[in-house]
Amino acid sequence: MTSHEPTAAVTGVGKRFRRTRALDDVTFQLSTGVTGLLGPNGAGKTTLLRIMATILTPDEGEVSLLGRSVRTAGQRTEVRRRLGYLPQELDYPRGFTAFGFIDYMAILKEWDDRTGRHAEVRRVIEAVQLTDVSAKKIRALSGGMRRRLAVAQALIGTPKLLLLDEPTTGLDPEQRVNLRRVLSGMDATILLSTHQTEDVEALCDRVIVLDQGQVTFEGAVADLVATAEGSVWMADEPDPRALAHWKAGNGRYRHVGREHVGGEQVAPTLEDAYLLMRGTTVDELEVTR
Amino acid sequence: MTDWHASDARLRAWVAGEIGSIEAASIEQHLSGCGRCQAVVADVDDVGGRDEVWLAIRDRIEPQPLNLVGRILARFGMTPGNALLVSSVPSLSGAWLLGVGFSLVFAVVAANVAGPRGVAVFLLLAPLAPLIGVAFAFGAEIDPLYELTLSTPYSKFRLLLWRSCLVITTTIPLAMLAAIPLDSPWWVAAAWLLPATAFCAVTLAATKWVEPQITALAISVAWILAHAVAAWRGDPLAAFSAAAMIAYAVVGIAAATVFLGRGPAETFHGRLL
Repeated sequence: MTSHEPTAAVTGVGKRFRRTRALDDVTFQLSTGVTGLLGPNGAGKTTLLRIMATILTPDEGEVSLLGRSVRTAGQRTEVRRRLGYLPQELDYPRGFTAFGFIDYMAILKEWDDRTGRHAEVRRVIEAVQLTDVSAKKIRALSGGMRRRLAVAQALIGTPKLLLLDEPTTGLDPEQRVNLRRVLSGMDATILLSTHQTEDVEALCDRVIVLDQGQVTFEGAVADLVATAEGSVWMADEPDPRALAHWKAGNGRYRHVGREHVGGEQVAPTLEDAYLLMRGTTVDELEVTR
Repeated sequence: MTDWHASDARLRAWVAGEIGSIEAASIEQHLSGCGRCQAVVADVDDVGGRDEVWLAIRDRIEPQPLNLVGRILARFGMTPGNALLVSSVPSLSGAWLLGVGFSLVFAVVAANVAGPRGVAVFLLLAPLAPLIGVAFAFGAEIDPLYELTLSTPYSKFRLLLWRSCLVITTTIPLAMLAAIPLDSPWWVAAAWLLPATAFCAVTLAATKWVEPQITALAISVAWILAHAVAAWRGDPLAAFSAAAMIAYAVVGIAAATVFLGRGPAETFHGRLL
């Protein structure tokens, strides 16, 4: 269910770290539903999410989340009560169990009543399919399980604004599908930062592309895919004139580029459109992944 | 998987609450991994369904156990949740407290062996124990959940204040205990309290702009240098003169006023609280 009423607005936001300009005049709006945030490493995605998670202050511009400005402490706290945030990397406290960690986060999210809190902790642990290991120490869990645990803490309290930085890193296909199922069932504004264009294609109705701290595309996923219409071909031999080409599973070569290189024209994917928009070769893409 | 099972009679006794706490804990641990015994418990008539029993077991075994400091805080009336947040800080871990205790005992031994210069060693180290504890109470490099904590509605100002108070109230008695066998004038055992308090207050007040570890490091270096200069001039206790004590008191009160007056809306070295 998607509402087009904006629930989050980022207006003219800039952020600088010493001489590096991480964000430059970033403006967009979000509404209920899942929006993908694509961009290469160093594009400013994590900085943007940390600003929206009320951890960093922007040097310029305004951020309004769920109808509240984050400039004042009271409004910021109100936003935090409705916010779920998954950082890109997360260290865990030593000696904690999976349940203990989620319980700790629930206390920070003001779940004071023990019985209700434990029920909520169990709900989010079950949502990421970790019930069987909830009493285990976190250090005994696999990387994928730890990542799901990190996602679980973001789901505490069924937030109205969910900011997820690379949530599917380390997850196997089955777990990724489960995560998509959980996210698609939420009535929330979700911003999903990822390198996985297939996650965006499967889950998001809108997408924002960030490059060198600036928004280079904002709109429907279908509109971004449409920009690559007529620019993708399959051929029996590789053609170096294409912007990018690689050998597909069927043994033929997939080409992406504005310049026609011959062969059979095929429907573009989001990844094709993303490559084309960034003018990126496949080799460069592998480096950024 | 074990072949051992609790007898049906003992399981019924456990359900009825008729067994001792040690045996009950053993049965609860076994029940968490034994389907056969869970089924027996669920069949006992005078309890609710199996789900309720299982939930009760999970409620006993799943929550994170409080460490010693957390248990003491809970005993003094703090909610277990807050006690868990406040006590989960590296500078209250057993290893850290052991390190502090060892350093202070070493200083006391040195004081007793080396006379006035040894006393100066104790007075040099004692104020640094609570200072370093406060520096490691809250921060990006200390707390693995620091960034996540910042994004939650829980008051970080309160968390910083509680953790700092807890570190101070844990390390100061430790240093006072260590000073008991000190072969020196009575005032030596307490003389370091004023600079220690002032150093902690300055570190907390400066958190608005600087990470506490940096402030603590700067204070420690300055403190050690001042002691070295005083010792070189032949007056190793110069940092504990009456004038110095007044200065510590003034600085401490000013820093505490800045820290407590800044309120929860302020920033923690550039991050939003």
